[in-house]
Amino acid sequence: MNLTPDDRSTLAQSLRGTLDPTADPLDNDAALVELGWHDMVESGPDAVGVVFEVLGMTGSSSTVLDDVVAVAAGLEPGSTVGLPRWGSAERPTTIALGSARLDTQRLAGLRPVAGIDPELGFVECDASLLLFGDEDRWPAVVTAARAAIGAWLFGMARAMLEMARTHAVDRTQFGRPIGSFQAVRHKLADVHVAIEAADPALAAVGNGTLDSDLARVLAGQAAAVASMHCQQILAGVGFTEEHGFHRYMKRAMFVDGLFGTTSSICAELGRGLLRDNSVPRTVQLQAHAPR
Amino acid sequence: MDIAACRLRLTDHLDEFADEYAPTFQGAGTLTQQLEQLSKVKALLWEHGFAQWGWPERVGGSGGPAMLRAMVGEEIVARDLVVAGFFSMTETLAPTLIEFASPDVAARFVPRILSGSEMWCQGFSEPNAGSDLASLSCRAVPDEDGWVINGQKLWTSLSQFSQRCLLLARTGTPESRHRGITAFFLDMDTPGITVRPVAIMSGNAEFAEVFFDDVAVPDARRLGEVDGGWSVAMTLLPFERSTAFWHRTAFLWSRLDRIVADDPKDDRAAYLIGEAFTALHALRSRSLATLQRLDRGETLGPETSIDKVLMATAEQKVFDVARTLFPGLMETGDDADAQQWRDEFLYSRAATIYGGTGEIQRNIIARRLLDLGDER
Repeated sequence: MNLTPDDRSTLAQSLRGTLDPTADPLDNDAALVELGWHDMVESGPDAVGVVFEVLGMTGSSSTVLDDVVAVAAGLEPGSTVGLPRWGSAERPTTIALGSARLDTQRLAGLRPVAGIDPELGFVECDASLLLFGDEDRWPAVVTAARAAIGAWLFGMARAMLEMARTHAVDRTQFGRPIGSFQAVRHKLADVHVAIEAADPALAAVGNGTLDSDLARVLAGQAAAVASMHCQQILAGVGFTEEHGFHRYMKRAMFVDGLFGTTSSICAELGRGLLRDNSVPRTVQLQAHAPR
Repeated sequence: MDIAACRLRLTDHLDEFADEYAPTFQGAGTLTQQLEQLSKVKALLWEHGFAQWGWPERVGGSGGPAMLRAMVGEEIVARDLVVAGFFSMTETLAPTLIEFASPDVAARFVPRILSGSEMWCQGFSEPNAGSDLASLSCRAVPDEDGWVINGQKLWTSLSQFSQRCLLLARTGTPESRHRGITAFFLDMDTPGITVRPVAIMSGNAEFAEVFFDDVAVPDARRLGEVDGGWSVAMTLLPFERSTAFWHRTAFLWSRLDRIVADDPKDDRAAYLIGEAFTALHALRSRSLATLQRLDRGETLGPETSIDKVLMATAEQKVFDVARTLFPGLMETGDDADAQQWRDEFLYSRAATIYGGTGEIQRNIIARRLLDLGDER
């Protein structure tokens, strides 16, 4: 299913009204299901991308990545699936990551992963407790998950830019807004460029592994540039827990390791080109945009 | 016209006539060889009807969307038949004439540019007007027969080989900035023009300074309104950043092909190649979206500064990766292959300088796209 730009913004708007950045992952999940999430996740990467971008932008917690994985693995949405260990894209056989869907009170042998982003509610556990679907579906799982994670990181990058931009306009030092200093302006411009670089790549994500990996890397780079530069521009206040920035930065660090990191996927892409001894022309001239 | 069908016709032709199109030299060749090759390729494309694709019929073209020109250049550049930057100069010069010259003047001169029978240069930058182009001071003063031009231009690519020059000159007061500039095109053999070639750091004398000493230009050679030269200059920009950029992406792609084909034995190879590939993908995706906007008749504006930054980043990335993965090649190699990598690496350093520096692009992004207000 291809969404028109109008469909996308209508969906994004209702998601913004639905998702609560202070709510538990399972509460946001319930709200998404009420909004028709189970149909969306089966309809393809377009609607899934919008959901994850808004999750990223609003800084809301959820476990809906499980459903993206479930559908790609041939399981029902709502299944309690397993994810690879942080930083890896291998199908787990011993220790896996599980989401907040696992009841930590009732199941033995779970290690709640507080880490840098406890609000996401991940756990580490034995892979036998979780569903993975057929082994031959795993490449499709990785492709679908990376497309969603790319959109998630992209949303975070956009939110960080908006915070830093607002701060640069409002914050006065030396009698003028800090956004009038070229050193500050150029950092914000670089973040904007990184975000705009990822945008068309994410929009072109279909079911192809290559498109998904490239979009995921570009989104990860945007989130990394945004984390670095926006932190610097937000400076003293952005270093405190009182400002919202830290939640995005920490979440981007955590999410970057789901199904491989930006740099590991980058190396994976390079290995693919070297193996095939060819550089695919990923984008071809055509008169009309895919969306 | 269907782009894919046209591409097939062109590639069949290029395969059939491969020997005629092929350069007669190895590697990059000398500047003179490169320019002879450029004229030859353009003449062949014209003779066989491909150089006309995507240009209006009233200037000798065969019509169709500008995207056809993007495709033709892509195929020519991907086969390494020409230097991309030289080939793409048509993309800025011809649209300017089409937009601002009288219909008969445009119909007379555009075919010469398309067919490679004439070389044109752009006299924009000056010693004291680089990033701040609106401060240019080369002067055009009206007299009874037309205009008299005095002053100096710099960074005027290929002017020593050019028959004509598209010139921006000051016609208002020195303080009038972009409101007091007029565009002309003049014959390079007009008395009073002196060209001094300037070698770029690869050693090629690709640029020149051009001195104008009481150079007489008829008013018929004015482009656009008196004091309307800034909008002439701004008309170039969207084409430089759409069709011409698409050609350049094909060049960069072909260089990444070469790196991959060499299969470098280096632990960093996979990561670095992946990074360069990702940068190229971002550039091509962005560039396609820009071409599609042009195709829909949208006006391109400050958002093309993002395309420019992505282009410069990707170009420097590709050549940085080549330098890392081919240790010593650029520094110590002396064969044709090494010479070409070295020249192209050195040229890539200018990607953040020409066509508006990286800093100017970021200034535009900050003010016009991020709405950060004025710098103070």
